[in-house]
Amino acid sequence: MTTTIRSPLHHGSDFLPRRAVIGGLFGAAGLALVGGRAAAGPLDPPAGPIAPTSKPLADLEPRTAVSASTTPGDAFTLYIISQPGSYYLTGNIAVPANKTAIRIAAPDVTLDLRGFTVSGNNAANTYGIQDNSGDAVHATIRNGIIEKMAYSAVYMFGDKLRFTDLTLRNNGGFGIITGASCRLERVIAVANATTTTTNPGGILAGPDSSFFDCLAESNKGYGIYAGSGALLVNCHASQNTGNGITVGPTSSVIDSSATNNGGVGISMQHSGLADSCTANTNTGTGIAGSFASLVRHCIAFSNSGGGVDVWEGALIARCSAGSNTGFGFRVATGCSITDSVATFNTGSGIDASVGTGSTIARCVTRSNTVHGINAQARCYIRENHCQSNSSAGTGAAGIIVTGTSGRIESNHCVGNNGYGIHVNANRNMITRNSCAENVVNWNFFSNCAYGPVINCTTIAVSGMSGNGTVASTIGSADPFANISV
Amino acid sequence: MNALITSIPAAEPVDSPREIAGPTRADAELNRRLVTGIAGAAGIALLASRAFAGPLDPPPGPITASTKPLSEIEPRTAINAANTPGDATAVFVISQPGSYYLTANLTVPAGKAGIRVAASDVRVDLNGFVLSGNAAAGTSGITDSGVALTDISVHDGVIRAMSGIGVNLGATRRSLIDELRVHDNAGTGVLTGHAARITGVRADVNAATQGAGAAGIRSGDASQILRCTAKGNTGVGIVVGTDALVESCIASQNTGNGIEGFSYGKVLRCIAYDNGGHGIVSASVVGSCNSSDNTLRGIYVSSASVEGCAARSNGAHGISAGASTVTECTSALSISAGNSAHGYDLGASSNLTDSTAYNNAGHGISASQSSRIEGCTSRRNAILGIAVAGSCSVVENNCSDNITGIQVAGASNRIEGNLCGGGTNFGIQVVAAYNLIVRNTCSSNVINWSIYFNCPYGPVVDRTNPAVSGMSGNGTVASTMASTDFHANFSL
Repeated sequence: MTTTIRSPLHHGSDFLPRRAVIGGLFGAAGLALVGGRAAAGPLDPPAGPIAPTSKPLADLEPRTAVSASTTPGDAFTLYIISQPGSYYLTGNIAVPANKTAIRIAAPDVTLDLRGFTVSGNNAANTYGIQDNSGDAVHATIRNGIIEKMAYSAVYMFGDKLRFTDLTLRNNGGFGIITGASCRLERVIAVANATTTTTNPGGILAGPDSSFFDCLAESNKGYGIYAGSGALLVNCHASQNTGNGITVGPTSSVIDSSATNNGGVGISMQHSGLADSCTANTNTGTGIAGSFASLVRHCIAFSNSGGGVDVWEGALIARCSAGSNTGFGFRVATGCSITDSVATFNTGSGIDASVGTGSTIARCVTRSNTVHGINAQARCYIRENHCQSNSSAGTGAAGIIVTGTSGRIESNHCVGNNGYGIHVNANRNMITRNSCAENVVNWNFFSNCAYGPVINCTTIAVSGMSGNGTVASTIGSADPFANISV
Repeated sequence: MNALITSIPAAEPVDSPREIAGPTRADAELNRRLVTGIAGAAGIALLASRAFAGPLDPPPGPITASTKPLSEIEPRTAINAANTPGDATAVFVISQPGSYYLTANLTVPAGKAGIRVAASDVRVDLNGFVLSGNAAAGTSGITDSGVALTDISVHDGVIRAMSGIGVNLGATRRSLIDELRVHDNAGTGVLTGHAARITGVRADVNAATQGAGAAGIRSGDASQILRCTAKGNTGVGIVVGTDALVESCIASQNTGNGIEGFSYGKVLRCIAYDNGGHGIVSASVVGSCNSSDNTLRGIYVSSASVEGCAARSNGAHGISAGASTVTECTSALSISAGNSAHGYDLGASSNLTDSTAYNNAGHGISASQSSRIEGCTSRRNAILGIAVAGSCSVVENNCSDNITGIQVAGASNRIEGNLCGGGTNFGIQVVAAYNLIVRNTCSSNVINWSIYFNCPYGPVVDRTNPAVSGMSGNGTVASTMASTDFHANFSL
């Protein structure tokens, strides 16, 4: 019986027969030689009945090994797990053509791959792990590699699944596709779907799923795709042919990055939240948010479809967008963009040309090819710094306003290769701004209300130093004065 | 050497240690002895010629094992009838500190707990197995039986279908719960006491019959709930005591509130979605959270800080905060049949800055007393852009395409530097005395201004049709403001 393993040093263990063999041999051939070793200890067993002093094998590894005897398969599957419980692999698995490696056909299963590799070796019609139409609810799969399947590595539609410490690579279909409310942690999907004509992607999960520390790289299609209510923390998507990260409504993407993807870096539907993310060198927009999205502390650089693009009622705060092809930031109606920086974009730094009723405040735009800020009607544009924009000499402006009823206040525009502030619609108010070294500092449409423009460009006054009372050199005491410096 | 060993199979027990370890120093010792014995009988000189293979004399001292003892391969204690015998209340009872593990699924019979922990400093590894109550009466998963213990850890498994609580360590301090799936229990999914740390736990469809106080996950003061999910529970999804932290969690489709904290607690980077009550309630710090489609309010706090949060399509106010700071948030599409759902509902002494309110069924921003609203954008809300009662500061906001941009209903407010346009009624409407209205701009409202008597306000300068030409250049140009009054309000 092999269910009991005993320590070699325990009395009553299997070590005693071995010593008996030795003793017999020595007794026949030369006991005196061995007699010198008699100090090995007493040979008499302790009093009392013989009893095991160590664990049965079943206690050493109580989980069920995945094998032909314990989890027999069928014509389509190597192994089928049909009961709840805890299972583990005992070695690598090579999946033959036309088979799935493991099918989980019960709820509450824990499957530990134990670091082994399940490989389809590119054989035809192979899957890694599947379920039966979602019956593997609450399953956990962890710790291994699934590779080279003709189709997907993990193809499960059950809800509430958990996947941790998996590497899914070089599969013909999805790296992983799952149902709703799943949790993926430290899942790596690399180079999946590269040989297919479709674009399945690396990691896909249904609504209410959470992703922690996941990586999707070089997949054909999406890097990471999640349904509504998804939470992504510390995830990375790069070099995928589609969008890097795509999430449904009410999802949050935090501390994550999307780099060098073939589509949008991070794409969010309405009420998406991106916080402390980076999106660089993507073919599409860096970060795109739909209605009422919120983008904070994010960086978007060198994207081919603009930096950050949000829809109605959205908010951008404390972000930076640079060297993007097209706009740095683009907002639609009723948005707010504050405390952000847009530099060296080939379009406008901040494009609110469809952003009626938006607020743009305390931002810096510099060296963008077109305008620094381009705003529509009813925008409140205040306390921004716009410098060296319209660098291609397009005659653009530090700030341009093309709609009515806006308020342009306390901005500073410097060295733009066109206008400093250009208001191209009536009924706007322009007060307390300053312009310096623009080709043309000011250009206001008719029927606008603006404070006096005070030209201090040729001012000839002495400097001053001290604590005493000194007269103004501005040349105006008008509280609404706009000043050329 | 190996040939010698395999040549004596009768001496090799079936359950040899070699089954779990390769040839070892003990095997080498045995082989040396075999060689020595054979040499003594058959001719030592022949073998002596191969003495270069190593010394024939065994090392000095008594025989010792050179392999790991089994107790080192799995030093923990298996949970079974022999090691952890149960009693009338539990299938297994752990009565000594130490590290324990489950060796099989466990079906808990009626009237019992699966595992009762009766000592502090215990770690229970469910080893991926399932504790199931099969809904039998009086079952619970793991319990401390109300005894005040400390430092209990429960790890990696499933606890389901208990008629009571899934994990009940409510009397234990500093419990550590991780990687559990707790579902379909009739009581609360996971219940812990003071200073617990709960990570990677999902609690689904629990607490269907527990009634008041039911929750997916309920933890005591100073606890940490990290990377957990609570879905479809009766009652609250996740509820914690004071000074607790809830981070990177999702609470959805619970019948009560999604995430509920108490004083001095933090809720960070969480999602509360489609819950039957409020989304996030009662925390002191709420950061980078997303709260949508809840039946009541999206975020509901007092004396709190709310930063970088999004609220959408909630049945009541999007963000409701009293005596709180709210900054860089979005609130949109709050819905209610009575048009009473505001984007932001601010109680007394609140500070709302740099936020957006869009397309809500009530006001974009509603503030009662003594609050400050600055730098916000409020657009296309069904009633007012900003509504304030008394003693508020409303500064540099942008209100467009609401019925009325800003409405002031009480006294002692300061309304300064705002831009209000496109109102279908008023731009700025002040319906109480003793308010200061300066430096505002209104444009394209049906009526730009309506200001109550006994209010100090800057001159209202009508520039809706100033009939001035445009300008272009760098030189000095005269003002078209028609006023140099610093306090002037302008119509465009």
